[in-house]
Amino acid sequence: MSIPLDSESVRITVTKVDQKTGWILLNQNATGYFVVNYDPAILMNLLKVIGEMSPLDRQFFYHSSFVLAEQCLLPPKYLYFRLLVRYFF
Amino acid sequence: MEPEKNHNFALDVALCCIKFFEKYFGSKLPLRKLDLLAVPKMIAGAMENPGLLIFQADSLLITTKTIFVEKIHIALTIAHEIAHQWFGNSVSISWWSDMWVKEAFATLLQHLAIDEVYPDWNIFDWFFSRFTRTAFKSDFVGGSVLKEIAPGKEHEAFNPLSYSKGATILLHLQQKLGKDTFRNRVRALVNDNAGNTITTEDVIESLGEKETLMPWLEQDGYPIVTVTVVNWIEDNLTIEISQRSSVCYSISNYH
Repeated sequence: MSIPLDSESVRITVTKVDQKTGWILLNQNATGYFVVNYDPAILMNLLKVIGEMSPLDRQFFYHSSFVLAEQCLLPPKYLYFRLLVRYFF
Repeated sequence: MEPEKNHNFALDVALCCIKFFEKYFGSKLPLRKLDLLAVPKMIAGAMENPGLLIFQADSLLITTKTIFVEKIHIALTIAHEIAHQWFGNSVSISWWSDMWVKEAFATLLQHLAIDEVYPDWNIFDWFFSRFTRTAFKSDFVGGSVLKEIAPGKEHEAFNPLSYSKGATILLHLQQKLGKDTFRNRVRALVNDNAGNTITTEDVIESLGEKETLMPWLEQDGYPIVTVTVVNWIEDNLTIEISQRSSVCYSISNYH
């Protein structure tokens, strides 16, 4: 799916996304020059499927997280460390 | 004793790349000969002189001890310099401030070539970690690709933004236009201007995407795209996607 982000914000509804396990992934194949800051509700489910992402998507996911943590945009208390833990185990 | 240096790998890569670029641009290698010369030491990794590519020996020759990453580096360097035979030499740039044009294109094109020659290398994984991440890093405090270069400051034209951010933006454009349309426009740009110099404006006009390209090239920083859940009712997820520039987040306050 391609969403032109030509205004400050856009609102979309995605169907068939289970609350416990569902997720959405932006910038597949990391071709876009931007980072993505996910809502914690989505991020929590994404954490569970990091291992199933393609190497490129995984790189972009971690890259975004590090950039956001650097800029203090990722709640460091739990998310940042959970990300690291997911990386090693 | 040092292990013996071997040129066979370089020769294979060079021949495959020439074949790739002749097909990509739809025109023959501009000069009738192309020599690859290894020298012990030089400032850059390689230089794309027309018909005579000069490489630092480590960026061209392999030994029995060469590891895989070094081979990737060698293959990409050769592809980069060969891409310059069309984009950079046959079509040259008008001024130092247009440097990003030839370097960004050669950087993207080198990956397109190696991706076709060695499909199992997944070279675009490498592109992200080596180039896109460099772009983000250099762009952390903000850096525009389009930069005035004053006389005497020509070395400033060779900066990570010209290569990495420029190439990343072109990859972004290729994704938007589709590979074939992108290739056709690049082809027209190169073949219509063979033997001439071009400016940044010519390139943007030729690619026909001024509205898409200019904000990416001109502005400092990169967008931070935020995904906020508006509501999640049963299986229906409504999100709001918004963007802000990274520059306004630059950490400057230490207390």
